[in-house]
Amino acid sequence: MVDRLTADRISVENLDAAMELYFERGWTDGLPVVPPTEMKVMEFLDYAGLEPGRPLGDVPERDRVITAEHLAINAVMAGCKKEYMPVLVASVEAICHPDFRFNHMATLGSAWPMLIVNGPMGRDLGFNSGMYLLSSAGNRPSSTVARAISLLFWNCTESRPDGIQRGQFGNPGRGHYCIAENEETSWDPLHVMLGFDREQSTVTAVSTYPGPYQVYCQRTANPELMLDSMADAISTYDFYRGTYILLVPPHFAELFIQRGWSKHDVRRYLMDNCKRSVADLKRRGLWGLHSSEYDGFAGVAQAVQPGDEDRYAYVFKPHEYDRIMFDDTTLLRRSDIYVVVGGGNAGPRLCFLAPYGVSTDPMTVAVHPV
Amino acid sequence: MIEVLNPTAGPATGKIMMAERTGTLDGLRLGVIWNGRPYGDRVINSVIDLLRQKYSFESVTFRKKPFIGNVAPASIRDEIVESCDAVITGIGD
Repeated sequence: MVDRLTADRISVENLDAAMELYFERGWTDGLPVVPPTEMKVMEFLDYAGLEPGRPLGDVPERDRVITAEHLAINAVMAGCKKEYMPVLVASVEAICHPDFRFNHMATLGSAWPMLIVNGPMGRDLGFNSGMYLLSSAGNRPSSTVARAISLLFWNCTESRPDGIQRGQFGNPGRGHYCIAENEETSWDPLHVMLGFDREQSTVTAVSTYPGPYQVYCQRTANPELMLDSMADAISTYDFYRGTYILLVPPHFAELFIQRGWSKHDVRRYLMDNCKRSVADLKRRGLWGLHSSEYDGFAGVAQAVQPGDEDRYAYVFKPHEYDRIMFDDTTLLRRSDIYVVVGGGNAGPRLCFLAPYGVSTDPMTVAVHPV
Repeated sequence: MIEVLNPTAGPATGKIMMAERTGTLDGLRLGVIWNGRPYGDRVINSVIDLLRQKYSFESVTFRKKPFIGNVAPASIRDEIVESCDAVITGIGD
């Protein structure tokens, strides 16, 4: 075999010893890995038609370049099949894209990118779009692609607690958040909403705070009333701007569709109604909390003034209190709701994921088939 | 025996280098870049106050980055390079 890989080789006695080696060196997330042999890694690279040294992503914050070889090694370790390589490559390209920038690996809030696969590859490779959507559901592509991306940044950018990661609580989505959208409804899937052709497979990366938050919404089949519960939940969360993901199970999507509601209508309703009164924000110590230009706040109880009960600040919509509620870094970022159909087709809840929106925007890139 | 592969990216690429040291701070034109985090300006200004007790600066240029997580834009970098001998910046929360 042509010696084309540059990674150091380590000789071990057998497979058991190999698995132990990865624990001892701190090269795994706490679970056993598939030992990456040269033959197996070359299989992955050959399948994808990638030279080992091909740069896939620049991580300037860590002064590292992620190559196809790095990705293939960690994908083997995670238990991927070689057929997942195009999705893995697109995932790295999305996360390393200059408009996404994984510059928040060390954030105390434990943000981690969620991956959403759209188009034929989501369906054909069998990524999970249904029951038990956000956990290990015995679904190999979703579980192993999410894990491969986690291991890649664990091993190549020291994105781990004994490295540079400083998340307070960690993110249970790390190693799990890789889903496909259920594209069986008449709603346009996410990638079509974002301007891609329906037959073009894509990966969307959205940096999310630990969650998800499921919200009981089915007291009624009235769209406004269903969404009022969601608007209330989003507004009660951190009151923070960015791009949220709203997961709508297929039976909910049908309720909206039957009543003539598009994804845009759902998005618009939430944008118009995710709000809190100034009085509420003051009582909860959120008034001005995220702005560096508003003085006299941050944990200090603020006096509710006459009229504050009837004045509102909005999570998504530009409003007169923006400079008080949000910092520059956030105001310059995208404020949006990605409505994605997914999850089990029974049950009374919708689900949202809150973004890390301080210095990143979501990124969608095309998957290039081999 | 089997041979397995190291999955890390190895040491940093070396594109980020330590700046040349100035020797002393006395008489220098000091640049300061605040990462924009709330109250970071107060921390940095306290540092400048402390430094001023020990050193005499010709000037202090204070700038704020628009994005906490990204490098300062070219306009700020160019200005600092042009008008300062040393710069204080940092990350933190």
